Amino acid sequence: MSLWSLLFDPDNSIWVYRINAGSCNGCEIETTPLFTPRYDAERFGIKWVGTPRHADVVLVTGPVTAVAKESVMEVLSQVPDPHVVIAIGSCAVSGGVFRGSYALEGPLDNLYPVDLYVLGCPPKPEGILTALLEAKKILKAKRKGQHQEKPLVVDPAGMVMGR
Amino acid sequence: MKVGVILKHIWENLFTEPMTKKFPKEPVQLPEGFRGRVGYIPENCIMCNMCVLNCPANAIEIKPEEDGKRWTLHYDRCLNCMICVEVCPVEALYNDDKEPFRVVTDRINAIETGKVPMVSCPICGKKVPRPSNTMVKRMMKEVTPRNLLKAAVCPQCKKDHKPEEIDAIIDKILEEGSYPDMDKLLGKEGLE
Amino acid sequence: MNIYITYILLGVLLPLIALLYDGIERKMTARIQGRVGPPITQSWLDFIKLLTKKVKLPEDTNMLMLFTGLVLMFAGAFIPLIMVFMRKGDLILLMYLMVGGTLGILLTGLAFRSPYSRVGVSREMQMAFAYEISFIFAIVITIMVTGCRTLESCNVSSIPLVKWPLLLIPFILFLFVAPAKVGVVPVDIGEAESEIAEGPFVEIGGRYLAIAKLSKSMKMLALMQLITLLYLLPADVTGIWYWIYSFVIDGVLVFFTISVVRNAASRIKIDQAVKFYATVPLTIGIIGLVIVYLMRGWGM
Repeated sequence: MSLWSLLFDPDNSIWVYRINAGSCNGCEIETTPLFTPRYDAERFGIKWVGTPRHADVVLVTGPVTAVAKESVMEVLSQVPDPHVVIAIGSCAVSGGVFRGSYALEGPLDNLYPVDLYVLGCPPKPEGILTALLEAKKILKAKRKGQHQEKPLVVDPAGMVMGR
Repeated sequence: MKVGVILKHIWENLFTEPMTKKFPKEPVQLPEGFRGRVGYIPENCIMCNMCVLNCPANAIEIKPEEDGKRWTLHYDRCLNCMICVEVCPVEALYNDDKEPFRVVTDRINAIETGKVPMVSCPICGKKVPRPSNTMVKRMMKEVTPRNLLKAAVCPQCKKDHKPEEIDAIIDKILEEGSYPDMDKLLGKEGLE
Repeated sequence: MNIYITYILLGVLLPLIALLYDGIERKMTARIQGRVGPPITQSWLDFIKLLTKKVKLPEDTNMLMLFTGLVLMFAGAFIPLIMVFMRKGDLILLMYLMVGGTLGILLTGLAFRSPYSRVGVSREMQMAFAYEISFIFAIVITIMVTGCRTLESCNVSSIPLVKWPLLLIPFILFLFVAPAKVGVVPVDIGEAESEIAEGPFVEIGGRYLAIAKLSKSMKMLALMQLITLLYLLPADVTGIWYWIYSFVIDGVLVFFTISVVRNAASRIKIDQAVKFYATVPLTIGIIGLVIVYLMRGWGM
């Protein structure tokens, strides 16, 4: 790390807020180790916060269930700009095994633009850490106003496979 | 005394190496039997649909194309359960733990895909799928152009002709070099 | 003219040093837990990051109360910091200013209708009632022992050696009060991150949160420097040596009163904390006050 980034780069400070949108807790179990001595995300300036108003990055786990949808959208609307939304695990990315269920309001990117996807069921903590480090670059682009807003996805793969 | 135990730990931790893994600089240490992503070998595939039927997340699909059939695995749905690897009868799928995680910016592009081309029957010229290397190896011990040609004979021709006749026809084809889909049969073309 | 330049320079540099001490504290905590820990400039980076973020507040925020609270909070940490490092000013005024900082936190929390914020304010208030009395006792005992009220002369080097053990009582009181006053883990019940999401600061973000965080680290450095100045300055050092000595001793104090305490204990409940502060430090304070009063009567 250069002296400049150690002293003045705001992207080296990432505060993370986590939403459980109907997850089975598998992804939570893989997310919490990030802040244990073994993985220690704090060495990159990543910190856990308890309220969306302090957050830079929002981690969403679980397929967005019909019950959770309202709360998830409310929380996401309270995160100040610039922020990055990361979907963690197969459920949050595409619905996973629950895809097509009557109790789902679709995967997250049908409701809110998602910047990064971490694939896996559940993903390894290293994968989540990599996504958080990638989020630094996206935050930098968003601060400079160079980032293009992503359109919402209307699950095309879900349309193809009606089984 | 409990406070003494804690202070001893504090003292020890201050003067020992931190137990943190140096992850982005050093590669991930994987445990034995780690289930990573699914790898696909189109040379072995017989498009039997076993993986499609057994996938719990409906992540695999097989679609016919103009010139062959396409196998697709949607990684955004994959659970890394490796049931497809277990049920695959011809070892076309395997557990590839080279890439233990994947982070993407666009999930629709997160797919693993492969294609098996159609070849023509050496006798009647009807289009049949390219025979699998694994099947040829199991039935005829080794994979040679001759054995592959034998395996590419369509079921109707196998009924109509005697084995000796088929052998004779294939010998003639190999001498003349008149088979049109030889590159596809040998895996030099069409396989993805 | 020269003195104004000094003050302006201190006004810019001391908050930065306070943030650096916060970073050092985080690094030490990480090492105690066996982690690598963030770079020591991390709190400074957090501060810059919070300044660049956009602010989103609830619609029914009481803006007057929020600004009053933030100004009080900042003043209650910034002015004591300048005072203790310049060794100028009144000890009683310093005491009032530091209590005013706590009042600022309460007002900030009361500007919102969030239940977390209200719970945080309620707990913060109970804690303030519990520990501020010990803080006042400590300062009163110090004034009675040394017999002076200004920060210039009020330290251990200005009194005869016989009286030094008497200052041990306010020193111990300060060690008890410091974690509560700064707000670190065993007694930061009002600002518990994991239970009530930073309590009074739950709704603020962006530059307002930056001010709150800066105030917190400035309060920590000011309190540490106050302890150093009053009790740990055995000879009357001045000039550059005073600064070097202060920064080193502040670092040691931060390690022992903040880092070790927060890693050796987990967060306790509000009734336990109030019960503790209303018994142990208060008893020490009352006994100390009685002893000092009696000894004054005997002409010591």
